[in-house]
Amino acid sequence: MATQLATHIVTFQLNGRPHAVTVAPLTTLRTALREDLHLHATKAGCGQGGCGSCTVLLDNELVLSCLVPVTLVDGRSVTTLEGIGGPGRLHPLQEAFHDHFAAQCGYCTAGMIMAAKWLLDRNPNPTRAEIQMALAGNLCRCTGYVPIIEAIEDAARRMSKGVKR
Amino acid sequence: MKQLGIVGQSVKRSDGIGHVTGQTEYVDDVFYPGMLWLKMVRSPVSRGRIRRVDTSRAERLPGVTAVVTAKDVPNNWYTILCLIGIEPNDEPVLADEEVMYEGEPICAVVAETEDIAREAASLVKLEIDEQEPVLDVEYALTADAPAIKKWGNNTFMYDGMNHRRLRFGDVDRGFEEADHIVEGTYQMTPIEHVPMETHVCVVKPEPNGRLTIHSNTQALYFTMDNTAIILKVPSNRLRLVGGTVGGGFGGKVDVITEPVTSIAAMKTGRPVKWRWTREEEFRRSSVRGACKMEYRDGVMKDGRIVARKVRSIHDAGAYHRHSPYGVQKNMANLPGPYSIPNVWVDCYCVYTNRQPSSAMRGFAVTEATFAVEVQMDKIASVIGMDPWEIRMVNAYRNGHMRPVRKVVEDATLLETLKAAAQLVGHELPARVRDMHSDDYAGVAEPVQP
Amino acid sequence: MSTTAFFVPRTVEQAIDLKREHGKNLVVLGGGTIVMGLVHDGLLFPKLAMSLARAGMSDVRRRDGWLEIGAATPIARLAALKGATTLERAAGMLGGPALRTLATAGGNLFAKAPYGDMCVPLLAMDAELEIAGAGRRYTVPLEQFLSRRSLKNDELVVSIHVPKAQGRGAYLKLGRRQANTPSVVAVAVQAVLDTNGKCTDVRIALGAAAPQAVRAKKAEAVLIGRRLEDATIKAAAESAQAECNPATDSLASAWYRREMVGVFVHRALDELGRST
Ligand SMILES: Cc1cc2nc3c(=O)[nH]c(=O)nc-3n(C[C@H](O)[C@H](O)[C@H](O)COP(=O)(O)OP(=O)(O)OC[C@H]3O[C@@H](n4cnc5c(N)ncnc54)[C@H](O)[C@@H]3O)c2cc1C
Ligand code: FES
Ligand code: FES
Repeated sequence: MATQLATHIVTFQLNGRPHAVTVAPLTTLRTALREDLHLHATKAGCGQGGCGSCTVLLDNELVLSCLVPVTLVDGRSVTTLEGIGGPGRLHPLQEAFHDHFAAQCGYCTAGMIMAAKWLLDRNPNPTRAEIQMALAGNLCRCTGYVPIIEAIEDAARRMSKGVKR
Repeated sequence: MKQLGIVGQSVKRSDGIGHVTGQTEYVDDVFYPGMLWLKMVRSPVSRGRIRRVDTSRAERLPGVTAVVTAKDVPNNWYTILCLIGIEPNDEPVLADEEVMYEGEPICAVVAETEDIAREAASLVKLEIDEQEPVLDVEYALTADAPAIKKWGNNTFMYDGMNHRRLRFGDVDRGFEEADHIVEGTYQMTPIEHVPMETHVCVVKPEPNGRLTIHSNTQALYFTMDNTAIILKVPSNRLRLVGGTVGGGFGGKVDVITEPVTSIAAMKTGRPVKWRWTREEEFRRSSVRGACKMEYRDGVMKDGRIVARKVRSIHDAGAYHRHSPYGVQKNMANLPGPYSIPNVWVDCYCVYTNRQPSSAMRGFAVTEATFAVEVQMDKIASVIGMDPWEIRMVNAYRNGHMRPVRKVVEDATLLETLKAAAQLVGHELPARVRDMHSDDYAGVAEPVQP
Repeated sequence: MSTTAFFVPRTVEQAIDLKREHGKNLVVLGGGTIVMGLVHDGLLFPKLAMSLARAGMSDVRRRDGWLEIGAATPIARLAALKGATTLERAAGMLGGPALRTLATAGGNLFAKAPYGDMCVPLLAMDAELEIAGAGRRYTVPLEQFLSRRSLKNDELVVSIHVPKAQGRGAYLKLGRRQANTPSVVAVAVQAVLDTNGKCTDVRIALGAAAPQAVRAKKAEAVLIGRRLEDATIKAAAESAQAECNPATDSLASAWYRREMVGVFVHRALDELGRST
């Protein structure tokens, strides 16, 4: 049994590379990412599971990082927005979000793109309804969902073209 | 037509790459070594007198570094519009004698981690004698309701009157002349902005005696002035750092996190972060106030509105904040963009023991527009007229005097309606089809300067 | 931080031992989707916490026609099951995809109304819970458990046993938006019709219509021995509407919920009648 007393070390793959954090019991993955590892793309919109701005991939499954004690991530693999692309090497989803004005204030964007990535990894050619369902846990207050959905449709097209080439 | 560089072009957002890659820095992304966390202890009741605030258990919790109460606030008044003459002071930064709404801030605890701060906040013991709250605006206006304001009633006083008035022409004569009287009451509940980013503030004391304040305010200079007034320091002691706001919609114009966070930073000599929970954002931040608007219009058979009388009641919640100003904007817009010769408006800015209201997108103008336009549709259906026609017949023209005594310039309502009708394929009645903003056929002549 | 230890037991026995040792001081996390929210809102300060995620309670097995769902099974797993239709439907409509990865079937048994969607089809399918404590294991009918929802200090729900579904099932959920929304009401029906179309066995379960998921037994009685014809369905729906006890909250008023119980029981029975 893993009994994690007081502070303890958790190691996991983060965006393809091994990382370790020293945390107090019940520290969440979101806190570890933002406050210990200083990867700030993942946002803290509620801490209740209600907004989706902290959405990341855990072993390629979609999770709300504000609800996951990081202790449970030990030995597993985490992907955040920083892990899929950055300035100068944008992921097709990031390109499409930029091109379609799908990020106004940008606070929901990391979660939106991670949910979209999870969907496209499983279903490279989703219908609009499937996109809507994949985004069901992510709220956006400024952009409106239409540009976001259009960006994901466009990214899916860009990615499938990329495969053919 | 000449191709322009920006106009008519789709231009990518300058902050877009930052947003899609997660590199944009928001206030919550600011961390300093040794940074402390602040949590607020809030009133559990809607109205009451504070008997005792016992922070001893909280202070004993390991990791707690400071407690901030009303005594620590140099000038314990938050009157954001004091700079434009809104008075008297009514809202303490931290409540000391009485609480006026559920969730009112009473005392802050500061600790090494957010978790400790949260637990410490739960350990502060409050003794409050609960009083009967006033929760309904109509009740608040009655003689039976307890006066919750020190000046003896429950309304903001506009130049000695308990409401803001607008008088133009003679409404009674207008109603006498009218062929129809059309009445309607329109009401809106409070609305929360729900930005995805909650209120966050980080304050760092600098070696030179200044405070660096990272704020997600929508109004940086407002924040600087009001923080300086509350801290009783010259504003050159404050270095305000704004930047990307994770959604505001008017909800982030209050100076609601910076003063207390600054005091905590001054008291501890360390950087302090205060990040609101989602619940605080929902239930404790200012909302768009509830509003009730009662219309009585005198209308001629040909659609001309000859008299409009409106009573508007705005629920400011417990304190002024921006409401007295918002109510004034509401008043100015209740007649709508129409030329009506006789107008009478009474607007009440009413205090209740509810979450204070403040600015939100359109700021009491939206409320007025909603009410006016539903009323216009109602008039159209009562007198059996095309709803476009009723608006165009009454639309103000250039040179018309508005009830607020402002001459209309650059009127575009008729042009906009005509363009909109075309876009949606609505055939306008012949009578209005050729109307334009400099055409006075069938309406009053413009005022002569 | 206030939490001094976080346990991640590797077996059910270890988990029970910890429960026995620490009792009420030990906060149990299935998926933590309710617990962590309480912690973040300052409503719960666990001194000790334990996750069931790795205690070997996350499997779904079939045994003698029964489905045995480990209490720590994520809702996403149930949504992906093939065969137990109303369970899958309810799971697929619970929260959003990221929440379903975390939320567990066991945690759902403790969720307060309007949550607790999984209990609705489980009640309609007459599920039982397997509960384990120090030196004992026993099963209780879900309905009996839900009426109190309390365990002894050393006990955990280990698994949920679902008998093979008899007849036809229907599950409907009404929320304020199309997905990721608490229930205004949820309705599950499991019914057996004989060759004449007469109802020989039926269970109707309602969610968000009382503090916990409940059966609408008077409505069930209306249906027994009758065919699912319009007048009978209407009478059953009215009966369910009369016997439920919904609450007013920020989602819906008790009045509206009651109306919707009628509408949705009606629709669920219609759907069953048509699914010949
Ligand atoms: C955004 C959001 C949307 C949601 N949508 C829905 C929805 O649509 N429908 C719905 O029903 N719910 C919903 N929920 C509520 C919740 O996520 C689910 O009810 C979920 O199934 C709870 O499971 P959990 O394992 O996460 O619970 P936990 O938080 O882990 O536990 C809840 C309670 O159960 C106890 N517990 C858990 N497992 C056991 C066990 N095996 N033995 C004894 N005690 C145990 C815990 O100690 C705790 O008291 C939603 C929540 C969020 C945040
Ligand atoms: S911060 Fe995790 S869902 Fe909102
Ligand atoms: S862009 Fe602001 S919340 Fe989505």
